Amino acid sequence: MRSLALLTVAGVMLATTACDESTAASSAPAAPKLVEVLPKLTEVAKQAPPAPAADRQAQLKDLVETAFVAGRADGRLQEMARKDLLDDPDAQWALEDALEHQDSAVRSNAAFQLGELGKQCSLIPLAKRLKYEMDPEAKVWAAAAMAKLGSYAGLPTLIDAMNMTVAQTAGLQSIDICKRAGIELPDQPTYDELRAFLRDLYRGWQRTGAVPNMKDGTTATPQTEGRIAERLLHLPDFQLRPVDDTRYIVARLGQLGLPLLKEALHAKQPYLRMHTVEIVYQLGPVAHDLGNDVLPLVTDELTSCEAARALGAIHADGALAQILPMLHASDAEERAAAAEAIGLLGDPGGKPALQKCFDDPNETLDVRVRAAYGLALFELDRPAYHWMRQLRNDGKYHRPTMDELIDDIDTRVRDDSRK
Amino acid sequence: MKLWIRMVLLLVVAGGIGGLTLLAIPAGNPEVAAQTKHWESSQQCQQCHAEVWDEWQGSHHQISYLNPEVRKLSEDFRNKECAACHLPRPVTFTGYGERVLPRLTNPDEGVSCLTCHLAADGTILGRHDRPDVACAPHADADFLKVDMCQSCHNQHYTTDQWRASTYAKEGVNCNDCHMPEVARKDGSQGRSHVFSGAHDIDTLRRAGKLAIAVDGGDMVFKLTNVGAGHNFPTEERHRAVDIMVRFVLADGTQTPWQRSYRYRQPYRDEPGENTQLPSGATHESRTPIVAGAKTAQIRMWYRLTPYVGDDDPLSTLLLEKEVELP
Repeated sequence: MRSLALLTVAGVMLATTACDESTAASSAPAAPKLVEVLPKLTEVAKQAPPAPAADRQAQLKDLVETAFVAGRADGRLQEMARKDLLDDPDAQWALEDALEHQDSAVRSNAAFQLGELGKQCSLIPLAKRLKYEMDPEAKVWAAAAMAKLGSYAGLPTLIDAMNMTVAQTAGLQSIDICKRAGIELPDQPTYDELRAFLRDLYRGWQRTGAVPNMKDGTTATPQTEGRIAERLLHLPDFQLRPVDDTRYIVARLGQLGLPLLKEALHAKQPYLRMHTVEIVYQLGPVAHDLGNDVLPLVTDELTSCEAARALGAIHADGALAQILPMLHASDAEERAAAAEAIGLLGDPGGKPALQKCFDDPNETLDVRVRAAYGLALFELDRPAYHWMRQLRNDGKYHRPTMDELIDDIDTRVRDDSRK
Repeated sequence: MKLWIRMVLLLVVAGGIGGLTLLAIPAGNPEVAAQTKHWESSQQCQQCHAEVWDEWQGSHHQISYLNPEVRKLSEDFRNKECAACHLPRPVTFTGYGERVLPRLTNPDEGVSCLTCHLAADGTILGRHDRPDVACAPHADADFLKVDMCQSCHNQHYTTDQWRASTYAKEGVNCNDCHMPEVARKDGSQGRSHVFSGAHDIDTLRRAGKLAIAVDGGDMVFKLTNVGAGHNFPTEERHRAVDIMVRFVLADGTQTPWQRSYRYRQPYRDEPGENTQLPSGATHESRTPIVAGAKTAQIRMWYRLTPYVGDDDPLSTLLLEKEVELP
């Protein structure tokens, strides 16, 4: 009889456990509905500004040389060439082409003029320049031009540059950016004050993707959309350089890329879908409204890890319930991504599970490290943060990875981008 | 049978069947997960495959995410495009020949055992079916093909170069040169997991053959790619082969070393032409002989990065010769 009773209890428990699992499964988001997105992107890409004919290109390149290369012409001729260039209907193409010029002074001039020209779609070549520019001055000009055109993604460059030899240029450009944003500056602002203003502007930009006092700054023009589509079409490429360029560029356009990213999240083409999720992750809270488009991708084996992290980074509504079960996945990669995502999400409801994961001596070190990272992002949980630092000091975990995670915690907690 | 006994039995049967049925759904089934060995680290392979593991440990696959040379060139992997191949998820995750995706875990393992040996269904891939051993590997013809290597090594066009070579037509693939058959101490035969390549002087010396001659007032250098089934050097930016020459005058004075030719593919956004030597090809370069020179000293260097000098450990001396001049 006793064994019968035990069997009964076991049976009921089994049923209860199964029901728990079944309930969890039923609340899971539906598998993503995937559609063909490439044809649409190809069509939208046609809106990108066309390049002039080859002979015109040669003329324009020559004009750029005369206008911007030091010593190429006397002052009077140089000024005439500059005026001709800026009055030319193809000035935008010439200046964007000059962003790749071997002379850094030409690149600086081109970046400045593109900011003045005010064509939003120049953000795309300027963001690429920001990625690759090695010359500190040219980098400052690219960042400043982007600010004028609607992206504050280059503000950290300006903040850093105020500690460098190009501090004066960076300072003057920062003053201009602050004034355009409507900030009332002291008569003679210090570099520290400018850095503080820029940090505030940058935090606001990270949350909203909008530049203050800029009319229509969050809506992409057809030309900008065309260029974003051109970039997204690179995501399925085999070569990673254009893929990474796209991730970098589109993640620095604030809200401008969101409509096309929303579509690309549903792409049948796996790499297009996958890398779009990565862009959403990089965009952070700006892409908050894409939460419902990202959610189904946690059920997609290819994108589950990146989708979880993206949901965390954009602070997606209702994401915690979908991410928590991933802490029990058989794949450590998924558990690590989930731990990181819960920290990024910042929903206090996820903290106990994260703590349990961190405390579990049987859990792999990689996952415990990501759980510690997640806990540290809750700010108050300093033991996890100190554990990470200790692990780093003891050389018990891959040092560059640990450095990267700790730096990221420091930046995120300092910027407190979740508020 | 009494009613209460019937009810209890019914409850047991119904609960058991219901529970088992629902738990049989593979996703989230802890019992199934516990019974199925889950492969997530190369450490799991070490116990049974100690010798193979020792070969891999320290190889440029294992250190791919740790290598200071790579970390420097990738700006500590802030160039995110590099991370996918230097810390990849299993190739089968995206498919043979397709681009790999980066992972977060086991950074010390770089290109790990599982990168190549883990099948999409979580089982282990090998050259032979071995259901009798712990990891129960199963053979997969595609596992041995060039597509396996292509997922990473065609980022810099190496497998495209191989496909255009006579090696491809003759069926000599990556494994034949870079994973030769070896006899292990335990008596077993297998493929080497050292992955000898650009960091191995013997492999490098087999690749290029340099013929040196004097033609009138010129030194003539003919380099032939005799041993690589891809360009020599292959890869972009990082690799270069330099033919260097200097002359010794009658009074013993030595002219400075000058480069007769550099074989290299510039990086994607770097100006210049690709001068890598395709498989089987010969290229001739000439350097005028300095007046009054009695001998010419020639060196052929392989450089892991083109920005280093002869004294740098990233430069490997492949050949050194002295030629008496007429």
